[in-house]
Amino acid sequence: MSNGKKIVMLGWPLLLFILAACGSSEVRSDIPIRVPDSINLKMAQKEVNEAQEELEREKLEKLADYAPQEFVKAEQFIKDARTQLNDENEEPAYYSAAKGRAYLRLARSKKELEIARNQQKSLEEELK
Amino acid sequence: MKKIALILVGFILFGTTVFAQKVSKAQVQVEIEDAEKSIRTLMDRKDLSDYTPYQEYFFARSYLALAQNFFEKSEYAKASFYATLASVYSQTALYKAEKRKIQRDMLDKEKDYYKKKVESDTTWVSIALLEAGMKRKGDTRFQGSYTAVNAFVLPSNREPAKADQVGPLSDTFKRSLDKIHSIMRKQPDVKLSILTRSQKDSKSSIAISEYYAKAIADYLLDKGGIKAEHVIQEPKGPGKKDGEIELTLSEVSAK
Repeated sequence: MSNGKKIVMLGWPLLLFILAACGSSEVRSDIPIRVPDSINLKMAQKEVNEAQEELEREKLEKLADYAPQEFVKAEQFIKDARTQLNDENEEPAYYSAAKGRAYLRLARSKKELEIARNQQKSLEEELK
Repeated sequence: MKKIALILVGFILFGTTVFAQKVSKAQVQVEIEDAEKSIRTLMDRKDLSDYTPYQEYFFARSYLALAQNFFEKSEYAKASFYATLASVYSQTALYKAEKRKIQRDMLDKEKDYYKKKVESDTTWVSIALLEAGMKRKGDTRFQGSYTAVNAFVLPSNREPAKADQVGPLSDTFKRSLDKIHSIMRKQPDVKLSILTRSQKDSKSSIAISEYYAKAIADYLLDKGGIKAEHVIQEPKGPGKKDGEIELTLSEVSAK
């Protein structure tokens, strides 16, 4: 048997094994947000502060005008995070802040969608 | 008594704070169900399947799996966190997909609009016919006069004695016919009449004249996309000069 044929014969099961292994893993290794194994006060403070800064920035960008529901949720989570941090409950504070940031991300996507919808309306008017 | 009351109030406040911070199993269950529903909603939108950002979709699936894992381990705070992320990422994917679809639709609409605009502008028709050697003879009529010497490859550059001695169409004349053909194809109502004459004696003259007209008609019809009845051959008897060809286009829409 030629070397080429051997490679093909051995390669197929290997490829199938790799594909099966990839398919079976439910959790991707490249997910952008992952909870650290242990959360200390410093980490929680950092997350809450960053979330707060992000929220203030988005307030200036009028994100709430485009995605009011998502923005209110984000605001509530970040407010909760601040309270929990003040009570030195670092773990819940960290989670709430991260949830708040996730909602800000969602609100930004909705803003982009709303902008696209408005552009579509103007284009339709223009092309009439 | 006061002491007991103070201890009791303190205990209640402490208990409430601790309870408020704890995430309940029932709450996480609802959050996981919401996340599953969000992912299903995304997958049910078949109209968006070409636009779904699969990275966000797979992240949502991963977060859901993590939420379920932590729920099984009774780590409800983590489970709640990942369930929220799963919902957020699947909704983000949905918004992104909708945005992409809108952008695609806008591009298509704009493309259609300009295509129609360009097609309705018939200035190019006048230019093409001018390049093909035709002149406007009315609102919808164009006419061009050619000689057989230029339109066909002829032996010694003169009209031959017999039809079978006439060579093929010249490349220059073919280019003019190509322009006429493209207009006839785009404007299906346009008709072409091919009037041809030969200078030879009456017997050969009609045969050569017929040969010219047929060669031109065949060339146009072989290219396809035009009706045979819109190409009218009119071979005539002897003319004054060597091989005369007159092409007339009618029903032309041109600015």
